[in-house]
Amino acid sequence: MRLDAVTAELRPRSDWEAVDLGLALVRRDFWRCLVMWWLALGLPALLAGWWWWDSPGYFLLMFWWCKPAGSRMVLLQLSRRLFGEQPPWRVIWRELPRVWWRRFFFRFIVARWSPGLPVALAVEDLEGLRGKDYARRVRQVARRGNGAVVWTYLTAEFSAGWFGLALFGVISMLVPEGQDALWTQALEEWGASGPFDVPLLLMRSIAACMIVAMSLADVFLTGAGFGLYVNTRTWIEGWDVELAFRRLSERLAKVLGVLALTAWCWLPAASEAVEPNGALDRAGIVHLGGERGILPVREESASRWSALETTGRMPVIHDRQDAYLPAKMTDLDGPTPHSIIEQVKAQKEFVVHKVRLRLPKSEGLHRSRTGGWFGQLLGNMLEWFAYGLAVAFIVWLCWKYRYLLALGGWRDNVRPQPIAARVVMGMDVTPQSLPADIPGAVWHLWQAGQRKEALSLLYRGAISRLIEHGQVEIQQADTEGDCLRRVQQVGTPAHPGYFSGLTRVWIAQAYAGQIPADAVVESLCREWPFVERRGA
Amino acid sequence: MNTAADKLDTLQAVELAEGVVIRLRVAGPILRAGAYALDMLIRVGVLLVASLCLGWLGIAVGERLVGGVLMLAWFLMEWFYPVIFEAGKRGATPGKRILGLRVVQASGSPISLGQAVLRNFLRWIDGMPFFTYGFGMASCLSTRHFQRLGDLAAGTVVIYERAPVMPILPVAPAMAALPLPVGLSADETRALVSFRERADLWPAARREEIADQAGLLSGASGAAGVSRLLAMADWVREKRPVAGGGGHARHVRKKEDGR
Repeated sequence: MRLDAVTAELRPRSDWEAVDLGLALVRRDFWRCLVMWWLALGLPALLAGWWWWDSPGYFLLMFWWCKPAGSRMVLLQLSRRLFGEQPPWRVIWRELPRVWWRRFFFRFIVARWSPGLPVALAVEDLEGLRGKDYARRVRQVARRGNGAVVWTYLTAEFSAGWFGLALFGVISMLVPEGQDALWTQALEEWGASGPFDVPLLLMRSIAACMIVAMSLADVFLTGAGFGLYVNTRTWIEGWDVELAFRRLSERLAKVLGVLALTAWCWLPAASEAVEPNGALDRAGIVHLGGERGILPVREESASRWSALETTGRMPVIHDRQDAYLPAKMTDLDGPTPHSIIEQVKAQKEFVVHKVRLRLPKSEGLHRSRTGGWFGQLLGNMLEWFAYGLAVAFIVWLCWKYRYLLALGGWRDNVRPQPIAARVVMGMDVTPQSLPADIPGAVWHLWQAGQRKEALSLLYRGAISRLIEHGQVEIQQADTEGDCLRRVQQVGTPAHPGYFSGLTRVWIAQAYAGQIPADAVVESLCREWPFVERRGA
Repeated sequence: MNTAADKLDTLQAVELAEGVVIRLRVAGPILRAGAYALDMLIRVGVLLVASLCLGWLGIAVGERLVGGVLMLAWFLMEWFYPVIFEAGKRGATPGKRILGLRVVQASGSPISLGQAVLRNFLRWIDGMPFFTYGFGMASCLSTRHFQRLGDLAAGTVVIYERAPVMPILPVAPAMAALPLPVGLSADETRALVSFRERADLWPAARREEIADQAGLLSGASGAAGVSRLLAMADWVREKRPVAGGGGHARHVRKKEDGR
């Protein structure tokens, strides 16, 4: 990884901005990402489509199940491009089988349902970690932004289904009139048979629409996960600071070089001037170094894979995979027409099968007649109990992992408690700086002829009391007008009438030098509205 | 090598008429979809309550009148709920406010009523096909400022209103502040300060690795470099004469990117 060749601005971001960065990364290479996604899944999808031609539901499920293979291709593209290189086709072709084999059991079976998949995939593929190291690293990386990744994941899955249905709707609107006999018939059939019993033709079209939508959603989902991953590493490894420091060193090296050159020209003692150059070289050489694990990403995984290839483990797995799908198909390849005919015939038996499905119901009725209503009630109760358990389980799951579902915005929503100002308009307003009995002290000062000090103490004391009682949030930078406005906003508990009179007197004294009459000051002291610890 | 202009970023620089460049933190489609869902819940909730109340009222004044009022309420909720809130002072519907989003003009100033109307009436188009927001999503993902069609027509963007919480985890402060040997630009100073403020996020080895990159500034490497950089950052933060005091002292912008 060359951090200085990075093609996106690295800075510590909030979680959702990191998701946006990921989306922007995908947008930059959208068509390439999409083509690479389909490179991984296109051929398998064709084969599986042929295999499950009569049961598109299974096909759809399998396709969904295998999506991470496509995600891995997208991840390859995005990660390389982020660091300024476009993966050549040679690399892409080589990567194709690996996206299937790499930790097949773990990725496609054990951890397939993990909603943290978009980020975990980056840890697995780019850092090449396994086992405990992998688990620890995923936990570390997921500590930041796991709420965002779960929500993004859910949004992507939901919108994949949603857009798939929309696509289906658009297609059914666009089927040309006059040639839509089959289509209309299928639709009518669907209408007659109930919503979950979809005719084959429609189910096939829905499956086709769904896989298109899934691919689109998954490309962006992978990008979002990668954005979060990059953001986490920027945070915990200080990529942005490192880059800034590196640029700083480059600039200083240039300056030093110029200085050294002039010094060398002007002074005969060249030996002193050489030293900074030495420092420059040293700083220039210092690299981010794969050996520290900053990006053991490609170098390491590449070498590991090449090691695998040389040890011959790779071909073995390769054969096994090849033998997987096609082997089954060759079994059927011989007697294809007969078996298909038999299957068609077998469909009639399915009709019988439907009758069989109804049988348990009538059996239940019989039982209820013979065994009494108690059994039925018990059965019903058990059924509802099971439903209740399922709902409770889901609620419990949501509650237990509620931190995963916290939208970033809520947390940001917590406003920092305003800190009470200690200095307003250059005056110290902490309660400690004031006498216990302010009006008394003010009147004392006034009578002693210290007019300015007296009024200043009165105004300062009023502001301090307003802050202290927590009614008015006066800030350090507020002017007299701001204070008055805030007091008026708070209303009666802050005594706006008194405060506006005081402000008028204070402003006239402070800015115009108008000393108020004794009676005014006396009344201000007398009407002092704040509770005082008099006599203390 | 990339120049700064080529680099992909989530902050969008906008030059204002005064020649000032501000950077908008433009928000992407996923959180906005969340805000939309919240608004939907709020709208449905309000309509439900309204229809319950009106239902009771209907016994007294007649069903047809109540039905008409409900239809009217539904129409207004559908079309004017976002308009009114977005043209208001806060520039955001309740859902957007909860998630910390806000609608502004592309120049960062608050949107006008006309823009709010345009942007929200075009929702109908963005919602196609079949209210799935397919068009809106496609437009959002394919434009640099994450604008849906309504945004493009009205010249508005949705931004994150609140600055992200940046945890500050400084290590133990340096023993003595060390003046900077050379003048630094604002970006460089900021990097130095954030090195100090985030140092505790990184393990010691990584800290040294980063500090080594600025070896030319600190004049040392390894742990010594780290402590010298921290001392310089302390000086920048605490001791530096503000604005034009020294020949090389420049004003540090404390807050990097507001709106």
